[in-house]
Amino acid sequence: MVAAMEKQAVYVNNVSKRFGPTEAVDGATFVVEKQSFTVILGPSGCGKTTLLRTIAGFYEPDEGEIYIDGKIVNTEPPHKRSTGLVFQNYALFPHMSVKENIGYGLKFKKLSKTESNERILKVGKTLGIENLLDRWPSQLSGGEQQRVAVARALVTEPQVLLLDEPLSNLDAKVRARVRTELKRLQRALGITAIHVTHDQEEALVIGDSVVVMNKGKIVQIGPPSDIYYKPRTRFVADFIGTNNFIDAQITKSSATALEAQTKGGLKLVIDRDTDLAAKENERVVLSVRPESIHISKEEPRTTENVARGRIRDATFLGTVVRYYVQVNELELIVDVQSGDEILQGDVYVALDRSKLHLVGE
Amino acid sequence: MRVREPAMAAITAAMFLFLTIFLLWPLGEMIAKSLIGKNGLTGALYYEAITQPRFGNAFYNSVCMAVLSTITATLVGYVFAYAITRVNLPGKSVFRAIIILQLITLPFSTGLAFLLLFGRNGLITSTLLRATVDLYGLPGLWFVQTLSFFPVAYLVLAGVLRSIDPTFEYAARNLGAGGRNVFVDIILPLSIPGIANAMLLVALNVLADFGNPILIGGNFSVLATEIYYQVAGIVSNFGMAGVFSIFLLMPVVTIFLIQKYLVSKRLYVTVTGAPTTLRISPSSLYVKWGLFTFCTIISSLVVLTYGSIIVGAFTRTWGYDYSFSLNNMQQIMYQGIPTLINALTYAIEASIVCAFLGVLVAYLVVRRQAIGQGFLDLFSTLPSAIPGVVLGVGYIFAFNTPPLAITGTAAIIVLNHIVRRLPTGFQAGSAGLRQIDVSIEEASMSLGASRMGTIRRIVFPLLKSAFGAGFIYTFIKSMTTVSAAIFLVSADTNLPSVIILGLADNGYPGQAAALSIVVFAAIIVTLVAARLIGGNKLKLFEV
Repeated sequence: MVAAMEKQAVYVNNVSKRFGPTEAVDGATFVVEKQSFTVILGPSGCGKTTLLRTIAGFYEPDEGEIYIDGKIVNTEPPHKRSTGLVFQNYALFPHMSVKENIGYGLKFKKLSKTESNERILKVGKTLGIENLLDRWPSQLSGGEQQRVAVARALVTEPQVLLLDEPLSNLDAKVRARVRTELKRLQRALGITAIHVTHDQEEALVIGDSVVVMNKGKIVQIGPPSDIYYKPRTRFVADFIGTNNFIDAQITKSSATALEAQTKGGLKLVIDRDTDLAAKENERVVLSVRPESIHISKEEPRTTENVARGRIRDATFLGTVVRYYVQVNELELIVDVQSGDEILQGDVYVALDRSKLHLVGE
Repeated sequence: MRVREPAMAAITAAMFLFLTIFLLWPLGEMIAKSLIGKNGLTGALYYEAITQPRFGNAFYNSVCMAVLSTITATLVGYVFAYAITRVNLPGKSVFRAIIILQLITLPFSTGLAFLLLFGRNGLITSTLLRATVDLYGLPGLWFVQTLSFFPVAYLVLAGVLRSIDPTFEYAARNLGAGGRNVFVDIILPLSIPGIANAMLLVALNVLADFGNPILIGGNFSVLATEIYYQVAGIVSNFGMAGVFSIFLLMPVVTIFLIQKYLVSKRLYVTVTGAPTTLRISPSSLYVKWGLFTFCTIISSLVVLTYGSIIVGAFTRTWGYDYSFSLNNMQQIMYQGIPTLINALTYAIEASIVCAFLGVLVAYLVVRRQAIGQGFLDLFSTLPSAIPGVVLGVGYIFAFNTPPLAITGTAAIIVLNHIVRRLPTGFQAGSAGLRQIDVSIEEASMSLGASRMGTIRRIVFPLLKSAFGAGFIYTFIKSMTTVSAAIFLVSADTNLPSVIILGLADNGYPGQAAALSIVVFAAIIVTLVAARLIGGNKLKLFEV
């Protein structure tokens, strides 16, 4: 237990925050391990930013506790917490140069001038902005502003770096580049980061651990692959990527596998990968990613989870071709690595039993 | 270059003609009078003025008064603005109401109240303290103008403080700054352009102020009052009034141009992306209650002002007999009511025209439809910088003789109101217009409407509330103005504001107070009526 505590940079325990009648954050509990990159993911208005600001100390939780580095910080004002916050709009002080912006937090650390300058230069070099130090914020591009904001948050060496959608103001190409850089930086410096975003792709790329929120509640916590392939609820499955949902009825239930029948009479075998209860005759929802379904003109060797279908439509998406395949009463979305030919007409459809997944409502 | 439509060109030309006749000509005539002697062009009057100690005093006094009052009024305005926009203070709506009150009452109400409380027969100085101190002159004037003009600074500064992105404060706090650091490092530096702007506006108002110096200046004469005495004194010297006007215009127009430049330049570019909604972060209790106390003291002084005017109106003889009486009210009925009807008629006529012209000029300027729109912009905002006294004198010069001999008529008063308040109408119009996306008009025109049809069917209906705002502001100012009107009224076209100033100056403060209340009541009734007609769309005084 003590060892576990020592690995925790931030521990949020059953935190709730209300604004009037609206429950912005409702009983949130999660752990951020030291030197990890945690992403809080959710649609706008789900409470993720409120949760981040509560950790930063701008709101006091109505219930629950927040621990930073093992110490409870509920009543600590923001400037006494060791958090570095990067704002969505960067909030660079327009009347200060880049150097003054980065050095602002050091003013309160009682450092000597030379030490301050060294630290500013060091963090500037780390972020590749050492040649911008004499510029003004208004003279910088969006990507450069973002780096300055990160440098300003890092220079005081906070226990945890908090990032409030810092990539949302960048255009798509820059965003993709910067998120990789951010992840590399976090690894290289060995810092702990909590990153808030509504972009599911960003969350999967950048996070060691993803906390999915909806309507103020945390609905799932896990590594990106779990969030992607094993969504616990229909909301998570739907919010992240494209998914096929199949209504079915359980026909047989064991500890390792389930058998289910869809509306059109299709029999499916599913590896049991969740702790969701599934009794016989129960109506359930199954999810399967488009890339976890295979289609072929030739009959597959196995007969398990195989059905005949007809391609109704195909769209070329670059790296993949997306097929809309009618199987009995189901319409399935299937992604296939794009090659030379685009299939048409009748096909065999095979669903991987290990990728079929039971989701809760 | 884009092809201009003939209709737009015609309207522009008409606007320029109007401004030339009723703004530039009077000013030009004044310059001419000051430069032309019996033997043609001469600087003799200027030489005479500069060598007169009377002139030197007035000039020095004006500058002195302007500097002192500007500093204190801006300071008070900043404290109010900070307290109201950035601190969770109880009784904010009361403080706001106090500011609105100061903006919609007679510009010399505070001076009148000062007379009642601290004057030679003042309640506090003479009756209560039996003191013979003389607070007339600079000390009294400084105090009165601070109280009168801090709301002007407030309006500018509250807007500036509201527009400072709250994430700056949050970022500073996150980096370790406490409340004091946030103010000193972030809020104060970011409000400096706003403070400069507010100071310039207050200085314009103080320099142009005429009523307060007349009432409580005593021997402390300023340029604005000197101009009046040169015209209305025992021996009127129009040429000298012109010279004094020029000397008043020089600092005032300079300030105006600096201020316009500052506003256009927008010193700080805010570096922000998505808007954020953050609430006010709590300030320390010392700060909170310190600000509260300060605002309460200032507000109490304003309340005391209006309290003394109300009491004064119903007192038998102020200074000697404080018993209740309707005497003052009866006294003013005979002279007051007809002039009140004058005032209402002129103010309503002027406000309708002014709001309409304001929207029209705003359209021409904001949508870049006018030829010479830079000049149109400049001339339409210039009247806000010209002291009423100066424009009043200019009107006498220009319109006393043919071809346009209209002095003594109602028309000259209405026209003067229109020209002086055109900047207000223009501002309301352009603020409203900037909120309408150009594509709405383009859609109308692509669907076959002409430019004029689009203005009539799309722009004007959307600008109803801007029109309403322009109307209300013009109306209030026209009802209370005294500085230009005092030169233009005749026996038949007299105005209550002019009468009130005369009564107060000639030792009838009770009657002056009584008539002030009647004027104030008339303004309130009209505002309520406008609200009923205009509905909730009429947003007034977003302070």
